[in-house]
Amino acid sequence: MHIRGLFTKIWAYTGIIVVSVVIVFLFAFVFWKGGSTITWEFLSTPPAGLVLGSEGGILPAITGSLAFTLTAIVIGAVPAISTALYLVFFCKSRRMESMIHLVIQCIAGIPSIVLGLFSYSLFVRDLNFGRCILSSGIALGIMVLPFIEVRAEKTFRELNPAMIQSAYALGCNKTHTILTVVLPACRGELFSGIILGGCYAMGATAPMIFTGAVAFASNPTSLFEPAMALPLHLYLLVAQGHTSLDMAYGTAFVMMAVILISNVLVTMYARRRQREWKQ
Amino acid sequence: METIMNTESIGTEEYVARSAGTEAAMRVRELSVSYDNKETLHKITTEFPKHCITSIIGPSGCGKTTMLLSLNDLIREIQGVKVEGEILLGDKRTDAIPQEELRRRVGLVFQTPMPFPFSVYKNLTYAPRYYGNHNKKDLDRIVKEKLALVGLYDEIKTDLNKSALKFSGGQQQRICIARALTVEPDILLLDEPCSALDVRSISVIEETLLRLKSQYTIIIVTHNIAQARRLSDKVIFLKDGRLIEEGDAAGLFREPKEAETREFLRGIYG
Ligand SMILES: Nc1ncnc2c1ncn2[C@@H]1O[C@H](COP(=O)(O)OP(=O)(O)O)[C@@H](O)[C@H]1O
Ligand SMILES: [Mg+2]
Repeated sequence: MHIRGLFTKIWAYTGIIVVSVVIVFLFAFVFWKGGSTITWEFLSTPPAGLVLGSEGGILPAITGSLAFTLTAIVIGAVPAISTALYLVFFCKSRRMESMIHLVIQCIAGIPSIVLGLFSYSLFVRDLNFGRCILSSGIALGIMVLPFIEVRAEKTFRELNPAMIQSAYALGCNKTHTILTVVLPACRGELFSGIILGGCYAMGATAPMIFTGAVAFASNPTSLFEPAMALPLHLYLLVAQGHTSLDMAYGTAFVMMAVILISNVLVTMYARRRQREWKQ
Repeated sequence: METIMNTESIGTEEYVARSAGTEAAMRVRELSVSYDNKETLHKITTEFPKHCITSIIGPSGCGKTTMLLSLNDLIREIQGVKVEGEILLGDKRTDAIPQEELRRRVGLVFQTPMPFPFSVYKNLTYAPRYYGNHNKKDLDRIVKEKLALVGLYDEIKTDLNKSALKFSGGQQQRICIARALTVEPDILLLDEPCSALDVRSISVIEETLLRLKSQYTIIIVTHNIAQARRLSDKVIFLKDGRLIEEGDAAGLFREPKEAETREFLRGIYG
């Protein structure tokens, strides 16, 4: 028995070490390769050059990615959090609950390229939105919906039921209780779920390529125009081969930095809220 | 300790004197509750006299919490619950009273202290504000009055803007009792309010409850027989979802009529 315990321990530690090393190596590699490309000019000018992107910067790709992500978050988070609220606080029928869970799981299982195709045929073609941020945002929103819903639902279920029932026991109705107790109490976790969903959307390319992301565009000004996006730009740079490889690493650097920084900020925010209100 | 002993005997006399004449604040007739078709309470019939403390005792899992939740209809928030029989608040059936009004008039304090994650002040003004009271002076008065009622005002008056979660367990529980009182309920239900607290907090809360009973009808679930003895005017003993015995506290503890009650009381004393 003792030996088995030891073995498990070694197994676990090896696992942790391997995973950490891989992650650290990945980040270090990208930051090292891309770091030298990062200049103020790279971050603040549009791409240029005979082979597009071999010179200049990636500004419209950054702003474009932010626009796609923001749209996706809004479109995904509102129904996701509403669904979670419904399931936890309103749904009385187990059958309904498992049906909704099934639907959510199905959405989570849809390959993102299929979401892109769906959005392309419905919004870009049939509804005539054209290739634009909104069309992509919807596809990305559907993609992150299950991601955010699962986290939100978990947060709501982990909330001590006695806290909610305390509000009911004062005679408050559900809507009021949700708005004034549940949402404020879960704000940190909800916020972090949404931002992590945003990071997920920011890295996804497939739902955008037919629907709104293009090789070159200026900074986005409206939901109804196409825009550049970091992951697609990265893909195109790599596809061009040697000429733009440094730029590709630079782009990857920016993307990972944005995601890493968002993650750290969100974790800090959630922690601080926790500390502020709990022991 | 002495004050508690005294009040025990006063409480008992009060109950004996009143139980003949006073009406019940709440009555339950043939109440059955089942979770997912598993019957948990079987045809309970009893009543809760006004301005008295009624204790519900019984082994764990016998349905005490279920009983309390039925009284203010919180039971309906649970999936798969069926409630039969009737519950009367005053002389009105509770199913004829709008749910929110019922819950306002029958307050509930839970086992673990559960303040909202806001400041003490916001906790206590939460419900009054919900009912449309936004007058700062009035709210200040309510906060002061209710905290004083649970003997907490002087203790924490400088910390009203501190998160309620930062106080000790006993203080949090008293904040919760004060919060329940801010809506002026007729009846206060408490579900093992002391089980998560230390001895000192327990005696403070007991004193608070004894003080409150002149204004409110109190129904308390407790697994602590000694506590039930110290507090109660009336005692209800439940076992396996059935009401085995009820009666005035002094009588029931001195000479329980049913064998099961005797056994339960003896078991606790060891
Ligand atoms: N939400 C629930 N769903 C299903 N069964 C429950 C639920 N709550 C309580 N029960 C069951 O009902 C019985 C009584 O529970 P409860 O009223 O909490 O007892 P007590 O408070 O006396 O310990 C227990 O057997 C418990 O398993
Ligand atoms: Mg219980």
